[in-house]
Amino acid sequence: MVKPTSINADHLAEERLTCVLVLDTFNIYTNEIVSHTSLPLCLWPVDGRPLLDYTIHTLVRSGVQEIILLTRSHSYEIHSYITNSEWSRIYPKLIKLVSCKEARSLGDCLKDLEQEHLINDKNQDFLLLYGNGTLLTNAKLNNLFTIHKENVRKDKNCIMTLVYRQLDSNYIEHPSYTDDQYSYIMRDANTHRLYDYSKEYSDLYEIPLDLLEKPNVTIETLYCPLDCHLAVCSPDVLHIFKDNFDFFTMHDFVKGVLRDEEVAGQTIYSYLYEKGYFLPVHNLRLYMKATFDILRRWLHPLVPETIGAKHSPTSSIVANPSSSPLKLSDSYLSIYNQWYRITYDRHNIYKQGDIQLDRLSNIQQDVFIGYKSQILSGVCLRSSLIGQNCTIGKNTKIENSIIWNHVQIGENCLIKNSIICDNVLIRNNVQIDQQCILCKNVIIGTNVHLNERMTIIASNSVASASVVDEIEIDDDTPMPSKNVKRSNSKQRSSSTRLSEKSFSEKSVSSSTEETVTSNSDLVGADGLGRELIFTSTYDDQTKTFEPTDDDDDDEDDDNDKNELNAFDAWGYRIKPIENKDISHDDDGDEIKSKQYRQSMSKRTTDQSTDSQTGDETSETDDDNKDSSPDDNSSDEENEISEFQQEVIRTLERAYLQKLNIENIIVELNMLKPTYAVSPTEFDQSIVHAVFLLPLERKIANPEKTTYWNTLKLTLDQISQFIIKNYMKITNEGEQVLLLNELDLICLKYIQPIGERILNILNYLYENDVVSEQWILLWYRNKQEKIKTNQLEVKPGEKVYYDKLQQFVEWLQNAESEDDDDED
Amino acid sequence: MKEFTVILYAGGNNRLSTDLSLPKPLLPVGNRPLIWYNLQIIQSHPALASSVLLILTSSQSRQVLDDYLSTLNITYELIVYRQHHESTSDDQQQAQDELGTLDILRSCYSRIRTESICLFTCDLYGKVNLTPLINMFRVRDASICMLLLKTTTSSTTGKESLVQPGQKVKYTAEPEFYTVDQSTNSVTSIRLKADLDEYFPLKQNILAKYPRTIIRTDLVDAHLYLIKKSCLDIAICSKYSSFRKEFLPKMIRQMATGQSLEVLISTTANKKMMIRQTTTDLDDHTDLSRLLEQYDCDNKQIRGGCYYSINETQVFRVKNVLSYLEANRQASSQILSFTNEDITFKDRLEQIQISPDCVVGDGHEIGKRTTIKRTIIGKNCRIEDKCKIINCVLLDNVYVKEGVTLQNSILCSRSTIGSKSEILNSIICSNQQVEGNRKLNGETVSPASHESDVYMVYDDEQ
Repeated sequence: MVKPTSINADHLAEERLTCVLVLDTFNIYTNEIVSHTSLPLCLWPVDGRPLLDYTIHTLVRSGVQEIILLTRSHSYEIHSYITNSEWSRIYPKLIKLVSCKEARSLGDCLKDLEQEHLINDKNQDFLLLYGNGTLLTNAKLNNLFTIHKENVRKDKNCIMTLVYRQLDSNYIEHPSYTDDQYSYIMRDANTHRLYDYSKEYSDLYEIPLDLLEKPNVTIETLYCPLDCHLAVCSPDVLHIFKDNFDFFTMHDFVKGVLRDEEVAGQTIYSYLYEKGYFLPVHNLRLYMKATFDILRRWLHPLVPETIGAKHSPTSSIVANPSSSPLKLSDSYLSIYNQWYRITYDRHNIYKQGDIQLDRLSNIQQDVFIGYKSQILSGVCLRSSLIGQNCTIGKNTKIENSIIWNHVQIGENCLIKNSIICDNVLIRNNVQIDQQCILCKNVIIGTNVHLNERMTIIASNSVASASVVDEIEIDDDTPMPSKNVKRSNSKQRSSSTRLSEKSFSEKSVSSSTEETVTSNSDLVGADGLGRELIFTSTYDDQTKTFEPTDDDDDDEDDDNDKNELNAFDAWGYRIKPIENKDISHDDDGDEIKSKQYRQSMSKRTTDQSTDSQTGDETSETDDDNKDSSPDDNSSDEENEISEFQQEVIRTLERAYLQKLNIENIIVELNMLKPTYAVSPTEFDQSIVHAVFLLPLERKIANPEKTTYWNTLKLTLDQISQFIIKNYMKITNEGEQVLLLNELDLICLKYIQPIGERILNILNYLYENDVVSEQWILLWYRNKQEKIKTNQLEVKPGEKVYYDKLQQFVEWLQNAESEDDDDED
Repeated sequence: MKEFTVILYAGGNNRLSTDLSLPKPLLPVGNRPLIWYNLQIIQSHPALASSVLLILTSSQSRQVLDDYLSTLNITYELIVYRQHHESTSDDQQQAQDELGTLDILRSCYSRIRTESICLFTCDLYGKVNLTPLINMFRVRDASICMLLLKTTTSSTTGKESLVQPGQKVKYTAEPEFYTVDQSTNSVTSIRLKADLDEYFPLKQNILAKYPRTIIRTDLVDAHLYLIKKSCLDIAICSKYSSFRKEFLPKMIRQMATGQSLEVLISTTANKKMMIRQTTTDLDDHTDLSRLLEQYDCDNKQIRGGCYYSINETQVFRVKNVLSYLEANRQASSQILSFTNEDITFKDRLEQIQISPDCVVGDGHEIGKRTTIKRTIIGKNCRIEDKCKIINCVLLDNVYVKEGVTLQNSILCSRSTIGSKSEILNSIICSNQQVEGNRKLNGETVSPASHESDVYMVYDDEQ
């Protein structure tokens, strides 16, 4: 193994090559499956070694000296893998782990990274691997740093270089292409600067003529290149992610930067590899392809036997299981604990250590057989990976499948194109069709026929919380004629279940689901497991139903955010539900299906309203900016109140995330044009926001929930600076406006705010937000109005006026005292 | 059976030739007519040199062209096409010619008996290597191959600014966008800028077929096509009258999207009309309808796609006065590359300064103390004493009297310049006299009416 220090000795003086890996796809479907396998996707085995290992190998080969792993879920597994792996032993400082448990998107992860200050140097470029962070490649990536540097040298505004690999012309048939990689890129043919970027399908793309006619610009279009999910970033990228909280994905980022190009002047470049193997593994289809490609040695020089040799058990400290701090009962640990020499035979057959291979078995090609696995007679294996301690029964045929460790497969089974995870037991005469996933601990009974694209989970496996709070939408299993086991009762039960669900609340349905521990119809009487029903969240469904052609910005953002979730774990675009419904009812019961469809449509409308409210609450929790104003009424007041809400949200976020005051002010200023508010309205809204924020949001900790305490907290941290910025103490108009607005608020909310006017004013006075001169002036005017009966004091408001008077008197006294002192 | 039929369209009656009162193919460039260069291009490739050469020409210029071509050692067939729009005024002639390309082709269509056709207009100037184009046509089994040229920047060096001689006529360049796939050399779309509003549209289905394309604005069409007869059949049957402007972009679009070309064939009425035309017009050979039947089933060839080749040497089309002047400036070096014959003026005459980049025809008579730079002088020219001629083109039998200054001008045959005139950036048409002591700048001296135009060039050879 080439040591990174030796390969880049000259670079060492200048900089460390850093790579950031974001180890999550942020695709809910993938994550759901992953949660049932107890291994994150990046640790799924490809040749007995996890995917991640290949990526790290590539990076080390490229001379990267610092690898930062950003994990969201499964940090424990990743952490334990890293600490027990060779990497931490050979290069103790190579890998750093940052856990971003709260992150919901790539943007969140990078924001967390920014907070960690791991990338400090102003000039330190870094490689960013997003979309699960597992890129398989046999190219060395260090030249990308040079390319990016060159781009920056030519154009100092360049902040990012995106990396692509050219695909052949018929991209749709290319196995590396999955639906979620759809993209259209417009760039300069010579400088490779990016001009346009779109991930949305469209029949027609347009290039502005001005751009075409610019001198020295030759437009090149790239349609569906292989997105390597790799980018060389300048450190500014992190700041931009931080400043723009609506950048969730890389797509948002690129779109945003290109859109703001004229304002911010930043540019993005691209680099297109024309040769070399690249495969960014971010869904299950690509995972399978990755495995077979590795077995077929596309990744040369990274091939299983050499990679395996680098982790020889003799040198490994974890060779002795007892020394491992981890529990051995965790079966997944075995994946990386036991290493045995891999022998490579012709026809790409790999044998790891000691295996039992029957003489009458038929091992065709591209097969990996793990340590201590037993292959009995008559077994036919082709393009498959068999993990450790597996047993394959007689006359079983396995094609294009991946079988993890400790799997037992009975006799006369036929398994095609499927993934079978740890500890699965498959009994005799089982047939498993394309793209099935059998998660951990599943047992498939005798004579069962599993149809295409099923995900079976063991009911007692880690029932993830995410499953529980989601609703089963459909039973997407076309009735097979072969499947004798499937009884009518099952159908009825499923349809009743569905109809029940269509009117039931979340909790009800999830509880029903929990009761279904094992679906014996599906996995057989002697089986264990049930189908993982892919439930898209309400958001996604309604999104697919909503027409998306209006070009509302907010809407776009929503789409972008859900972009990832528009694809299932296999990388297929998820079709609207209606198609599935039709396939469901093939009993010919027209009436029932009609009713059913009606109920469905009714339900979807229900959902859409539901989801909006749901959206809002979730947004207030996570303060997303994209609360799309659904009622786009031209009513100005509405606009202002919306704006006010926006300000409140901004302040809240600023408070929670302890943002820089200047940034908030910039942000607020930027809100001004979007909502078209006049300067006075703007100031009014600011004041309102400052004082209403503690009222509307219970952001303080539970013990101090009183209004005053929370107000004080926010004032301390941000609000007073905001007010100081907009309502200058020297400006009479602004100060009076502030006091008038405060007055209005107090009168409106006598209960928590009005009664506290003494404290508020005192605080503002003490902190030089308002000067006494204006308070007194304002108070005098007010008193006059009351005297001339212009203003009526209602009985309820007396508390407020009393308090006010109290303060003013105190102020006057203090003043006179001051005067006295001066004398 | 021969592979190609070469169709040389030598009929042009465009702005340039009306200005210079010469049929365009016979416009002298470096004292050789333009058609000579185009014939050289054809001869340069054996596949084309051995094929049937059809030269299309108008009835007006037929005689002179025939006279000239008979002096060359080539076999050719002259086809005279009718000028459909003779009645309309002269100003629209340029448009007419463009309109007619397909119409003209229709008239000679039955003469085509080969699978492939090489179509080109007689205005290409420069050395073209056709080998890559022809190879590509063969290898890719292309439906059509076209030669594209890089827009040339003028070769004038230094301070000399390019001023267009003669009356200011605006040549509206029509920028075209060529979407090309550089890995396969295929053209996926041709769009005129005039057809677009603010955006250049890209169809998803074309993008899907050609994932990596470049939109080039720096190319011009050389009007040299290699085309399959099956495609030309479609063109002939279509309702379009212009090949380049109407039919070709549509055909490329159809091919890029993988759709059938047959939709371009217009209604049966049109087809019938076509058939009638062939029967009345021409010959006994083959009924067009039968020809079409033969090719109708042959869709594979149509799907062959459109490919391009970019010529790297400096080649351009002689389309207007500017490019004509430019061609002349390069004549000395160009001819050398064709024939190894140095036509630059070598004789050193006493008291006459002639720079080595000049070409002077036979029978010259040059007076003393005359300076000539970067100028092409035709045959039998007479230049008197103390003249200064810079950057000019003098056709045959020009008489320049004493003390004349000529700059950046074109003097057509038999023109006479009176003594001590100063002529800048002007065009003097044939048989015109400029009186002495005149000062001209940016003017065109032409006969009162075009009726008197008689093409009488080269008759001195008889």
